[in-house]
Amino acid sequence: MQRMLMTSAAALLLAAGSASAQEMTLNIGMASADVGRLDPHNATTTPDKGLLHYIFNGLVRIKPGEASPAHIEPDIAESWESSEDGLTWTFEIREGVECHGDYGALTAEDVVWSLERARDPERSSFANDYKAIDTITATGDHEVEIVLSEPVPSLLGLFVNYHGGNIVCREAVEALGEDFLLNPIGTGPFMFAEYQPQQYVRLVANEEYFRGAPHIKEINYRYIPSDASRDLAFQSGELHMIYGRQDQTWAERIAEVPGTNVVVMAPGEMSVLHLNMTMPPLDDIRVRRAIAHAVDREAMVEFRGTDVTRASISPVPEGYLGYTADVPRYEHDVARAKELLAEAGHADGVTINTIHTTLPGMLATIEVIQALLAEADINLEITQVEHATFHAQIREDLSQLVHYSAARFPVADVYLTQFYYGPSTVGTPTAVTNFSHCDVADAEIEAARVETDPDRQLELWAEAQQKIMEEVCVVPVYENMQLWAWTENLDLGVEVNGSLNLSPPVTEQARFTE
Amino acid sequence: MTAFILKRVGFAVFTLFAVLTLVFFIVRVLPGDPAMVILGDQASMAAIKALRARLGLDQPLPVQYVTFMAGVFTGDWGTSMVTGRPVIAEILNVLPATIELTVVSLILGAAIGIPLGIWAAINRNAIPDYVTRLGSLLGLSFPAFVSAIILLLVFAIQLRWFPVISSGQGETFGARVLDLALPAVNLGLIMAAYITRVTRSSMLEVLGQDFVRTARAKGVPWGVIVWRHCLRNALIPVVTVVGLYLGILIGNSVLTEIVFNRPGLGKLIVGALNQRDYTMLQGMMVIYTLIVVAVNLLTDLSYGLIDPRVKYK
Repeated sequence: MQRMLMTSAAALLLAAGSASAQEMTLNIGMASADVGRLDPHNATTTPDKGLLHYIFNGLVRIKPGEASPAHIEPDIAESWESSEDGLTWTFEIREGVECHGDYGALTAEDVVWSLERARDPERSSFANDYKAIDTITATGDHEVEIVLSEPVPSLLGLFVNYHGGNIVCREAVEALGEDFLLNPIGTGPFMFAEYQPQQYVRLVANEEYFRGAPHIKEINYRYIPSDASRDLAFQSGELHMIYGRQDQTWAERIAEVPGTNVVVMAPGEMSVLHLNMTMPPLDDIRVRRAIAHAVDREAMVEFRGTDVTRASISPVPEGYLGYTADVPRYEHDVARAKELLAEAGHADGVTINTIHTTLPGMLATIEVIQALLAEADINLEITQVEHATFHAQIREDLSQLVHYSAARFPVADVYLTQFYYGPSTVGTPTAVTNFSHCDVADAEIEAARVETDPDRQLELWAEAQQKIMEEVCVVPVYENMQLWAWTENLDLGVEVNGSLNLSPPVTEQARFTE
Repeated sequence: MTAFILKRVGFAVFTLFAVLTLVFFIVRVLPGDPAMVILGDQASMAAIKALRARLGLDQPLPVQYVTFMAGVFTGDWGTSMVTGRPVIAEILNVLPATIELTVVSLILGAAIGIPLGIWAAINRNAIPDYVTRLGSLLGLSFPAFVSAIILLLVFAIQLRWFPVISSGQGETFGARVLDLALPAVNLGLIMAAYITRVTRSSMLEVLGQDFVRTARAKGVPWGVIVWRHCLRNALIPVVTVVGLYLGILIGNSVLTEIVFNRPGLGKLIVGALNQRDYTMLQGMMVIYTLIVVAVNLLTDLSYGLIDPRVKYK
């Protein structure tokens, strides 16, 4: 295999990047120095997740190329039904699903074991997501029954091939033990073959894949941390597909390489300013509203690039199940901002501090926001700290304003709970990422979670978003979409609008064309 | 000689001990928590606390320190907090790649730097001297990652002689050379700049000494004077500088490895730092300290080879 790689590398060099019709190996460039954890129930980083959806299936999946749970379709489960109260779900498991290697056919027992593992905090990073599950039982060789203790919004979302929903093969996990972290065994179109430290993970086609053997026979998922080198390797033809920097200039520059597709994908990462409502002067709603009026979203979108960014108005990103645009809006109005400050007794302006990461992309944004706020006499003092330090300090409740950028599973409940729900407030034992100490919509968030009438549930989520904007717990700024580029002769077989796992869907349908 | 080496090794152990203690506390003083980095930004506080306990980070610092020290001196360097793999295996995996790159760059640097330095010295204040001095100044002031990108643009993109991704894994000798060429040239040029300047000034000093005039007066050919008599006398400062600058070379190799996508200690340490992988960082510091201590010892010992008058006491 090593030799084959070598010769293909040499051939690439000789052909000087020109793609031949025989091309069967897909080289992907990912922005990371090395692999982290390839155990799907413990992989939390973009580079790791981006690889895992080529290897694993879920009970269901979001149609490849889409990122919204509106596109859920069968995967390992052929069909499913739920009881009237939405508390009991029965899944029929497809026959003929084979685990990679010699680990045999996937059974209902495997599915049960995998989901039990996903909800066990000792073995999974995502156990929290499965709190509402009461029991999981195999009720037949190919039937699994899941009983909930309370209804869950968009339950099927928990069983797509993402995070804990990835189904692992019991025998493989038990046989490999600790080695499973770097030797993932799933049921998907591609199988793990080899890992070269700091260089690549090589996958090979799963000829037994239940949807049919993949056209592409090999994937080299390369770890290339330097943006410039990734671009150059793409330009030289050594890579077919690369992870892009999330900015307009990158998209424009890479599009100039002949034969290149630049693709903008959902989900967007939403950049917001969380305002700490317990710290003066931000405990005064007039000051928070002044900040909201001072931020010019259109200017920010212009700055980040109109092709890759869209303005945000709601505390939940656009396109998430439950999102509403019908929220109180704060138009850009410097005079109004100054007026509000004066009313609050700060006619001479205010000073607000923020602890901020040194990540260049986020830093550029906060510096523009700093300039916009200055026009309204709001002086933003930025303390720059290294990224891991930033994450630690904002969780210690040290920053008045927290600039945060995140994408979550696209259901309103997830975003609302993690960022705007009282018990998630930083500094408390149940803390997640509620930096603003927002608790104004707790009742609606809780009610929506267990509401069985979907229309009423949407209403409750909308009310929650309205209340949060009314109180200005947060100032939404913009959403930054995922950017990728690949060669035009690579046909993924689907239209790509998004990907929950943040990397383009490479399935059995992907192929090289001449 | 043996007593000298023993004394130096004793010093080395002490240095290592001091560095380890320093590293142990510095990585823990840094804000940022490995458990948080591993679990990602959606993890609950309870999960983070549980992982901290599993990693032993909830123990009092003195307890962690004793466990760590006992481990280092019994050969157990622990496992990476992020990947769970043994630290020593991870390091040994990529160490050969870094050593290969550093040694080849050093040789390249000496092969270019020493002749250039001599050439500049014997043509003092003439055109060759100016050219060499300007060139070496450029070499010193160019950041490694900028020269790396320029090399890639010219030789990998325009001329297509070399790959952008240097795997460092070629099976044949030719493939290895192809992979190593650009990164080694990048580092070698920086090294050459240092060596040129030291060689030049050291040679100038020797060229002005009485024995050189005597040799010329009795008709020894100029080439023999320069290469045999002067160079050997001028070499000690050069060797010292090469030893000292090895640290700079390692620093630049971090950037070079990243831009050329070569596996190596550089990529490992950057990853470990970003993820607050304490055990990995500690292991890497042990290795770096060992390398620097070993190179210093070798430098000292080489003086005796170059100059028989040097005695070890």
